[in-house]
Amino acid sequence: MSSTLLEIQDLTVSFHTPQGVQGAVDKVSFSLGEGETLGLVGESGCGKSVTALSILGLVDTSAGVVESGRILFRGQDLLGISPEALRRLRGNEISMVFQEPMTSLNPILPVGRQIAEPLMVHQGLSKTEAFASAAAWLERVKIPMVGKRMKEYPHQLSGGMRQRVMIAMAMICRPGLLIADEPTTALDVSTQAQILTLIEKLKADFKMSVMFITHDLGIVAQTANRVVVMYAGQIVEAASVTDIFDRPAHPYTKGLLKSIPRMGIPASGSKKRLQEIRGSLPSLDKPIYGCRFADRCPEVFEPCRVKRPHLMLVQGRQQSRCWLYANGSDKH
Amino acid sequence: MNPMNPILDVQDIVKYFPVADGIWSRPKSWIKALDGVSFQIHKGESFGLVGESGCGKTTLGRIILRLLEPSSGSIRLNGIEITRLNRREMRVLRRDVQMIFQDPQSSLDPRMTVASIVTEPLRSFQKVGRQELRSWAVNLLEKVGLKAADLDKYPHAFSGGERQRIGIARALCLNPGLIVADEPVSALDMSIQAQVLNLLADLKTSFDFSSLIISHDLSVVNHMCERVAVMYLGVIVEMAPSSIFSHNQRHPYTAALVSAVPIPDPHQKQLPLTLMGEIPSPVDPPSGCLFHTRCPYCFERCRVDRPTLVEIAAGHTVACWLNEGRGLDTIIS
Repeated sequence: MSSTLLEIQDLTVSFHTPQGVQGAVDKVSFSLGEGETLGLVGESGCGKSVTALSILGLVDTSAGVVESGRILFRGQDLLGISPEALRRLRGNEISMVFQEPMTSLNPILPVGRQIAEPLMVHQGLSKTEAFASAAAWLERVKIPMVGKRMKEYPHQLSGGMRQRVMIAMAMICRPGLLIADEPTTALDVSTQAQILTLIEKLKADFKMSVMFITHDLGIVAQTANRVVVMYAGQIVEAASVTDIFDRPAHPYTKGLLKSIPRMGIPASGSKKRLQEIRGSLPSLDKPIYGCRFADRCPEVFEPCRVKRPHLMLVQGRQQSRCWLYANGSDKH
Repeated sequence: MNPMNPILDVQDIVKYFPVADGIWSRPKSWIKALDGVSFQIHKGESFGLVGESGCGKTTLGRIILRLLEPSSGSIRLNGIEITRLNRREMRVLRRDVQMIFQDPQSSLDPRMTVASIVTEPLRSFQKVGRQELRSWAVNLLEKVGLKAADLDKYPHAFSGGERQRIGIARALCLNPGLIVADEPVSALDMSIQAQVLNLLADLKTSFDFSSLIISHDLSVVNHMCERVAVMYLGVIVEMAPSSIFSHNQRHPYTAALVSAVPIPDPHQKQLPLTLMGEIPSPVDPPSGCLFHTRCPYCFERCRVDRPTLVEIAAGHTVACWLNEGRGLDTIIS
């Protein structure tokens, strides 16, 4: 693969609340190459969104604290740069698209102005030039009647169109990295297909890397090159997309793959039962000894509740945080 | 399955919502939420209603439960016409049709204990002694995988998946013949979805109810239902066994919808048949076939005449002019 664009090393984030310190992300490490799509998969509370927000320094609010780690973007540690430098990066070299476009768009500004703004701020373009660019981008994201839409407000657009506006805003400065946090979860399936196709095309046209955060394994299979699976704040498995689906190496990943209902299986008695993962997420406000998945794991054995597993090399570029793979070289 | 005695028989349901120009003025236009929907659910059957935003499936669910009145049309529950019943008469029938809601958080009263929640349907209909209520509640909770110890807790003490189980227990309280579930697992995480889907399948076997599953999620409906109806802009465009989700879609919208669902298999790279444009407004729906503005196969007749559901094979009906002997089978596959 080509060079590394983003490298996250041992990132630990927690939330300091009046009720105590709540761990959110625990020593997460992974990298993303140029032109690659990384699928960050997991369920509620796994820490995938907090990880993404940390990259852009958006988690440092009064409660969120990055406890340790490094976030290297093109070799530079984003956790060590000034707020002004980070602001220059946001929307310019690294952009983010969120799940609910209605809450991410300013409801009192016309859409054209919101898209043009990053260009005026980051690249010093004049209003005319920026608006012309904004219109060109709305066409590129396939919004019909661009002239009319530029003057409209977010509430006048449908969900799919708002998401396209978000994408236009995120792309306008041609970032090297686009972080998409559940961008299609709130959309209809046919609109979702349109948005996913659009992101693929933009990725190819602009040689961009994409970090795609989702809980949908179908989207991961169709869009990602590499996959990182998170559970309860930790990475439990990292591998190429084909390895994740063909030979998952963590009981959680295996459980997820067996538990999703699938299309294309003819209606008969055989499809009646899905394989469940029993139990539910452990509470993270108390420390957990051993593996965080132990209570729900069908393959649990002696070391699991006693010693916390680290990420172990399974084969090639596949890693799993599971004592079942203790042979072979270890990797923190 | 006895086709002569459907548990639910819906005929020509129409629902228009008025759009007024202010509180005092007359409606200037109408939102045509449902424009003539008919289907039947047979005893013991699990029937799915799928469609995207604005298709009318949720409105239809509410009308069947008479949480909303239809503008016209008929609904027969166990042979009884329910649209003309008054509140008292309808209340009696409600024992036999219950609902499971989408949001496990907002569908449970946060100030009621679990015991009260799951026995509320029973208490609404008859006076039952405290002991008997508690044992009824314990029985229900155990059936949904919860414990007697949970009886006196409040909803906030439970996870989303557990709250959905409480909602299911409540729906089963009076052993209804029909359960209407509106997006029963959409708000749940993947691993919990599987638990709840399995639970519903097990309960269906032990309680033997019929069900109407309303969802935008085709794979969930495929898993849970034997027959499905695909809705678009207030009408049913195709109705068939759920095998239609793997092959033999005869309506272009169904085909596009199925092709748009991302397949969880990286070796099967799909090319979604992306539809042009967006769903038209239900205030100003297209003439002729409601789907014609987005249909890749649209021809002259589609713009003018609205197709009705026609049976093209046993148990398979489609509303599309393509299926009227033009021999275009090979185009959609």
